[in-house]
Amino acid sequence: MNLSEYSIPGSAMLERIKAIGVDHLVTVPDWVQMAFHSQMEAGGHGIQQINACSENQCVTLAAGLTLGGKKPLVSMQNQGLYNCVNTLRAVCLDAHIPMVFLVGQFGREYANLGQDSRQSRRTMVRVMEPLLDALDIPYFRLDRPSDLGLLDQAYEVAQKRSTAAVALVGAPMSWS
Amino acid sequence: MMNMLQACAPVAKSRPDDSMLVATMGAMFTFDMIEGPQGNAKGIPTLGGTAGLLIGFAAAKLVKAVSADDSQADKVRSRISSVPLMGGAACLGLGLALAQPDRAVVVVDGDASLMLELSGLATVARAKPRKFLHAVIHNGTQFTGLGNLTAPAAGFDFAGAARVAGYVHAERIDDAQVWEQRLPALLAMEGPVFVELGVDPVPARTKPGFVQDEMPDRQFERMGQEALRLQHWLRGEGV
Repeated sequence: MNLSEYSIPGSAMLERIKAIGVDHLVTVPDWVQMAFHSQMEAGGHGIQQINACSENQCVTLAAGLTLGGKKPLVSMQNQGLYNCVNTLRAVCLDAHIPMVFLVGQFGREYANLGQDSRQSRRTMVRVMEPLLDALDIPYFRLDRPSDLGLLDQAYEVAQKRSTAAVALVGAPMSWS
Repeated sequence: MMNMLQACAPVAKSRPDDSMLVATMGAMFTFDMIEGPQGNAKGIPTLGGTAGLLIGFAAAKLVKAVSADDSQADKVRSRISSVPLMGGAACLGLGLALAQPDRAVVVVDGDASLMLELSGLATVARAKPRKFLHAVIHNGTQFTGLGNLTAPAAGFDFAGAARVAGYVHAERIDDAQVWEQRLPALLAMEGPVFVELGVDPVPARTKPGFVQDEMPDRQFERMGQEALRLQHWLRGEGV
């Protein structure tokens, strides 16, 4: 198994969100996205990063930014998304405030890369897509570097449907 | 200690027209009751005790009955309720404050709600919103005015917690007159500023045989409606 086949460079993610016009990253950092977080912390990119103490706070904070005319990206682990489901329900499903989540599939065994994440032997990986289906939240699999453009689609869908859209990062981002 | 009306009315009366107000459930219901058609509580008496609360609500009802609604009024359009969503008010207000740094944001939080996301105090403090006043209604109850269940906040020093978290200024106020007089100065301070209000619970209404009303659809739709209205207002667009 060659991890680089599945790993999106952190620098490429930064370039992608700059191109999309993201102005704020609101996050409880994610192990899978560590290379991206490191790029963000290095600064010099013009995107304001706000570290919240919980994922619930990420969602409400990003909602306020959106209502105020900004374009945030919310970044967290799969565990974090499980933590903030009720806030997501209130803000995105009931109040229809569009929001894009970048969610790392923390804990995914490397043997599952390139396979269906629903076949993962790790609960936190396996139940993510069924949960999003149950919540009627559109999601996009960023399983390879060539999938990065799907993040643009996540923004389009979130805006068009006035809801949440989730981009699932399948493998640890690379530090190249 | 002050009553709920004495806690909320000064905010409705003296927050700037171009400010934004975020409220949790208990405060939201109070603002709904006391705010007139222009979105302020001008002329509503703020007397103490349970009798004062009832007189104030009755006066507000009368004012509403004889006035036409003004859905274009700044104070009507600049409100958003974190409902139904316990714990969401502070960071919703923070996001608004960071996006619109020239406007003041007033958050009227509940004690049980703030407890649910207490670490949000640190998130707010770290982000340093300049024009941000965070008030918490400390009445020690959940579902106040209905069942008055005990909130896990007895004896908790919210102002102390805000201070430790890094708010620029934090204080506790129990007296209604002091609060009314102090509010303009707190609004003028560079934030984030925190104020813990010692508030008596609204008397409970439940008793054996009490029947709970169905939760209306509006309860689940209003945050979205207010969000849309707020966005239009911030863009200078009509309703």
